[in-house]
Amino acid sequence: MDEVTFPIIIARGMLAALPRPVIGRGAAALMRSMRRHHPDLFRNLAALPPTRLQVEPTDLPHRFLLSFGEKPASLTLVRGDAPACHATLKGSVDSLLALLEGRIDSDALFFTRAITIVGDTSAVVALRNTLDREEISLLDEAMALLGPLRGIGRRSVLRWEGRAERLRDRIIAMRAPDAPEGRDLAAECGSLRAEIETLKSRLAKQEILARRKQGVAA
Amino acid sequence: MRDIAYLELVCPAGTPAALRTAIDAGADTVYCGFRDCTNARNYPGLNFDAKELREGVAYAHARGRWVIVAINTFPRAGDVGPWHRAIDTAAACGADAVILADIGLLDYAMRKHPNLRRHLSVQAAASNPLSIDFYRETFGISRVVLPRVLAVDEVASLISRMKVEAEVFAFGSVGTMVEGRCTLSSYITGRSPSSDGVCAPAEFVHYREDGAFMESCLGDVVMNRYARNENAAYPTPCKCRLVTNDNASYLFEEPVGLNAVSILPQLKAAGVTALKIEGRQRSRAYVGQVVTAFRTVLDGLARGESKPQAVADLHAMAEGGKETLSAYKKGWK
Repeated sequence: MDEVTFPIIIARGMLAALPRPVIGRGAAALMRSMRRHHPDLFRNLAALPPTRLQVEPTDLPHRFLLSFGEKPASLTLVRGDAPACHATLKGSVDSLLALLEGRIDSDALFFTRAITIVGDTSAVVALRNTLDREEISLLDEAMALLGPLRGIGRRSVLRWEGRAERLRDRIIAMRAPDAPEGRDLAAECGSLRAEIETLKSRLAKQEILARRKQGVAA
Repeated sequence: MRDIAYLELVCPAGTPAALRTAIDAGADTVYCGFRDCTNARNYPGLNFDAKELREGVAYAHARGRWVIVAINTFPRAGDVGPWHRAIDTAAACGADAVILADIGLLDYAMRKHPNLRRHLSVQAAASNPLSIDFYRETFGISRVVLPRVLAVDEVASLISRMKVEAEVFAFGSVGTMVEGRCTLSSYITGRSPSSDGVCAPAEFVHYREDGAFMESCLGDVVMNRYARNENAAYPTPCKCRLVTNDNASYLFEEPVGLNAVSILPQLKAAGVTALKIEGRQRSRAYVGQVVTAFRTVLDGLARGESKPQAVADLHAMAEGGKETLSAYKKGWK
């Protein structure tokens, strides 16, 4: 099968624009589809301790509750206050979906702070490792919901994603005419800040070594 | 007979999917472990059962590659059963070798499965010719995985005086501790890396947000405190940030990842047989990216290129987002 990039712009747009009940029903339908195509995944999730994880896409106005262990795994939209849960996983919807599909290394995302975990880390580690056993294509799962129209739906979604990507690139170029292409100044600032912290640490270490040497010499 | 280009590439697999990814990306050998305390990466949701191992071995052998099984923790007093069963299962599944650290297990494997290759785990911390010779003469080991505390010239000197194959770490975590003897994590959590198979067990790890900072904790101990946008790392005790004389610094080791790709010709010249990629606890995306990069470099060197060519940036894969040659180029003893 051809390697296809997940249509993240379309997905993010739909998740941001669609009414909550539609998103809720869509999430439930997606889980049913995945259960049919990945029975081992759901068996492995059921074998884990009962767990409730809040999944918080930082670029969407929604939060989700993923429950697994004992009962069949479920994904529901959170309404109102944060529910009692074992852990919260935060990140851009792009990062979270890439994690679900195993397209990106979760530790690398964690090192760069692209995702954050609050609460019981073992619950998130167990989920990551269980997901990583499966080769999941969210696009295939979503298109399977269209039944016999999935081929047409897939082609249309990918065509619209291509157009959206071109439009996004044009808007970025117009907004930042002076910035060199591809430069993320906020990220560069963050990286420099981290470098300064590291240098401060090294300096501190050198000072300690120097003091020790002086002590020995004395 | 396997066709090894330049140096044998030994790659990690925490799941069957990662094993297939490693083989497809060009691993010569894949190492994995069982879902219990018998291996040093006993994390939730990770590792293999007997059926998965058998299938993985079949997948690898069909492509002329090896699968070796890490049974590299130390049995608890009076409870050696799981470790003996793990060796028996690895042999029954057709594994090409077992990686062992404990002398009792080496003895058991030698007597019970004399035709199963025995590799001495890094957990045994064998780092001098006398020690390695003892393991070879007494337990018939074929290979030793050298501890991550030796400089390249020390590796060369050691190999010139030993009669077994040498495997060295090429990418992944670095450790400043004496391998297999560290008790820092057990002191804090009560669970031993050497017998339970986990350093900084996930159930003791938690992160909390504190204004603009994030704190990583192991049990009740704060291991590190990160400013916004500062790269994070695992909360392992040997890489924690300590405050001394009002200065916060990494006194033992900074959170960095080993990347020895630039010194592969020196390691080859030192007599190394195999390169180990660390990271059975990492995702299959990590496995795919790192193995592909190393395969590309090794194939280039095998074709006669004089030095490793630039490959995909592995910077982001390194712990803390920083790379090091660690002890290979150390200035300390």
